[in-house]
Amino acid sequence: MAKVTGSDIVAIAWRHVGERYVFGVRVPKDNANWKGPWDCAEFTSWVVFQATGKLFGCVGANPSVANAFTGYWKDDADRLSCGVSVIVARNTPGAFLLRYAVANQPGHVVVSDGKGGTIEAHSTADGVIAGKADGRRWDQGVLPPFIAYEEPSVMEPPESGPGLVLRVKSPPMQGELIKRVQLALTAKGFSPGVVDGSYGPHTAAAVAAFQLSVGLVADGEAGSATRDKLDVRAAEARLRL
Amino acid sequence: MAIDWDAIFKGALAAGAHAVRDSAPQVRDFLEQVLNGHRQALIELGEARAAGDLTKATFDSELADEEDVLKVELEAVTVLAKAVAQRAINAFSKAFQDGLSAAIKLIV
Repeated sequence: MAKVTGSDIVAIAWRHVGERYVFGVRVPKDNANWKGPWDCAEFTSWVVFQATGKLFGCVGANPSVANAFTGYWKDDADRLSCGVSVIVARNTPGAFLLRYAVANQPGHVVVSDGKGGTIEAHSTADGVIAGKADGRRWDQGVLPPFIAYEEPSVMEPPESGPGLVLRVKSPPMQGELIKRVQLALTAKGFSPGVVDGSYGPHTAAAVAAFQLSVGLVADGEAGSATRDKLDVRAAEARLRL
Repeated sequence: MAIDWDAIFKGALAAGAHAVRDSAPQVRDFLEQVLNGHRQALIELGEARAAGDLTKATFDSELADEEDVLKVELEAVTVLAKAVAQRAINAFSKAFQDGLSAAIKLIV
């Protein structure tokens, strides 16, 4: 049997654009007729299983009930040494782009089309979409070892970047902008815990809950799209460094 | 008075290219190409710092993350040696920070 290629991964994923998204849904990876609902990691793990017959990014050996999660994608990428840089995945059809699951937040994982685009189970509002890889924050790329990836002929850098993305880091991100995000979350009924200007797990959880409520990717990170929805704006320059 | 980002980026690009002018004279074009994807992040980061919206530690940490990604991308698009890419990015980043500090002193 010919080895599965990255282009096969893209083709399988494409057939499901337009299908429904449900956060946290479980998908039987061995059901070739599944038409949704999906969530991001269940979608990518299902695509890999359908193409290769192998589980990736899951816990459990039974494909009918194995649980896919962005955190397990990172675990498998580390275990099998198949992590690559974001720019390589961005330019490799059928590679995967991963935003880590941090502080109990779900992260995100998508299929790269190799041309700066994605196919992904995005959100409740949009379902499975053909989206853009550029202009968003990613932590790493993944090339599962049982897929035959072609070396990219051209290595194009992203056309645009994500801008400033507030997120859980160590040490934590701190400042007045984070305090304004926390106040806006509180005002909208999503408690971030203590309003202290420090972006910790409580703030991330409140951001994720807010994102779910407005149809954004619920990753717990506050980039410009999330800050816009919260009506949080940057302040005018006033600091002498 | 707004920060003159074009001037800051122009100076930083020139510094990055100058740092590796002997080993990689072509690096300026690649640096510019790679920088396009980071321009917005660097501007938002600089403006957030200028406005006191981020602490110095958070600004430094974010800038270090941007440097890491820039270095990987520069290596990928140019097949530059890691040490050369690192030198170009270090010089770019230092000039960027110096330019930002100078601009903020002018506008506050």
